Amino acid sequence: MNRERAFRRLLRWYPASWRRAHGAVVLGTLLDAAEAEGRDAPTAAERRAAVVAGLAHRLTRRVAIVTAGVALALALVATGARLWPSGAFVVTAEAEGLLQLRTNLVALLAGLPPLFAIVSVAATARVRGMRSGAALLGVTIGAAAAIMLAVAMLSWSVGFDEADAGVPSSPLAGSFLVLLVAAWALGAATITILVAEPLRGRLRGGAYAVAFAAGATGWPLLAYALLSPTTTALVAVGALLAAVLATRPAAATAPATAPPATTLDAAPISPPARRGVSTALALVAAVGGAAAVVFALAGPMWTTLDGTQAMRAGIGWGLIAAVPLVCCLGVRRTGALHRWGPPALISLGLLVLAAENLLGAGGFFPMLLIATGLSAGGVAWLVATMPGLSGAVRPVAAVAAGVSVLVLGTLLQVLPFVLPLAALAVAAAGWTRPRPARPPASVAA
Amino acid sequence: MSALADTGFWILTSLAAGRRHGYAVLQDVADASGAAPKITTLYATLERLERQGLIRTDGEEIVGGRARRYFVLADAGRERLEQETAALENRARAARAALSRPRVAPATRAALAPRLTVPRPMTAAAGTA
Repeated sequence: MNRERAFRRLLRWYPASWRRAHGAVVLGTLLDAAEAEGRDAPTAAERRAAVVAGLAHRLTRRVAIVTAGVALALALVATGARLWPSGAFVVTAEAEGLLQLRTNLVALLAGLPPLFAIVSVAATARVRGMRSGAALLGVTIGAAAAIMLAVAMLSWSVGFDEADAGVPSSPLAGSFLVLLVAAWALGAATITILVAEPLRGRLRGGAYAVAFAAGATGWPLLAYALLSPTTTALVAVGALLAAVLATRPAAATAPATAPPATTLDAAPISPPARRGVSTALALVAAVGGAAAVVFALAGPMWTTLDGTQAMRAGIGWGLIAAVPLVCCLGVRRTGALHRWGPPALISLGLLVLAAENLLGAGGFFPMLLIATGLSAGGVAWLVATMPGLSGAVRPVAAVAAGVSVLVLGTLLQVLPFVLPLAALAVAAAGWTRPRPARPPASVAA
Repeated sequence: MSALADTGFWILTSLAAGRRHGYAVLQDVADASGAAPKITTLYATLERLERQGLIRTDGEEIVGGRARRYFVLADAGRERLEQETAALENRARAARAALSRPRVAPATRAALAPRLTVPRPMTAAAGTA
């Protein structure tokens, strides 16, 4: 039938999976409506709506997860390529060429992850119920923003090289500011669209003002984060987590009525004795860590060590002081292997790095890599065995936590400087947490 | 809880009266609200309401060579429509009560005006001058 063919063609804009589930039913309804109005072809409005809704429905859960995964993989490869020590190459003419190739590759790899991450976030939002038009607009403008940001960075890099070589600047380098402003405007528009949509029902007109404020201020921060493949990897981890957790068939549905049980809720209440041990360990870590920080900064005044040596010694002792704090993780848990396995692995990582700082055992980079790997494994293990995580969430959260530690590995050296505060916070939490509830009878009395 | 969007509200209202297929829901919504939603919007909303557990699909039939999927209101949907309706009734009652009061004459309204806005010290100063 001619009429049917005209309407069937409209549905080709939708993905095949959607057509299998809903195609026949929607086609039937379209035909019912056309027959009632005596039409043989879709109206212009029906055509437009089918194009927009069909394309938007191609932003599925799978697209959200795969694009975030690709963004993460590319960012990690770019991070690895950048971290790889340049000294590994013997400097010959060929190696020069290789280095240049590597630089270009890193630049290209650093430009792509934001693009994939934005597609992922828009797909997540669409699956969560964002309107089709808004989702498509978000993807389109977001992709333009990511490309513009990459071109702006290329322009900056080219301009830098040209200035270095004393060559007059090319048009690409000259238009850096214009490109940057364009990237900012497009990026701010993307965030505005993505933020306004979920707020629409709650804030009515105000949603757009709030979203625009978020977009205008949030984009420079995000753009700054996207300049480095390392922080881009974290953004990608966030996108991946959002894609996996927020688009689960159950999660996409439930307007969070009952928040999922947190680990604290699900963990057995630690008896007072355990809490005492945990608080004491945290206090030891706080005191030891504070002493290490003081030595790192003021060591040269009392000893014959120079500034760098004192700093390394302070960091080394600070990492050792973190071990009791890490042990608190085990005190609060139950079981045997899963209780002490993760803290042991993390502690081992810290001790490897401490040994490198104190003794200069085996070259900083390999030791940092070993320490980061051990800590990442411990954190992933910790998350994987956390109570209160359901089915598919558990492996994803564990991998994401592990990858985050890997990505932030170089920050392990800064850990001793935040350790005393973190340890004090844990000690204070142990002190102030309300005692386990008494039996109801005594409350009623 | 965010308010139901218009199409969602009218779909729940249509299904509150009984089991319906998509095109019948479309006709109900068009009759009740005065504007027919686009069919893509209708099905996108039906999908969303189903994911939220407010409606359920209830079988498919082929009628005259065309596929028809039937929908019914779920318990959660009925509860939600009750809440939404109660909220609308409250609003309507308040507005009706205000409208049915005798209209205040313009002079009295002018006298009331300063009390309705932020008190201004200038008014008092002007009064004593």
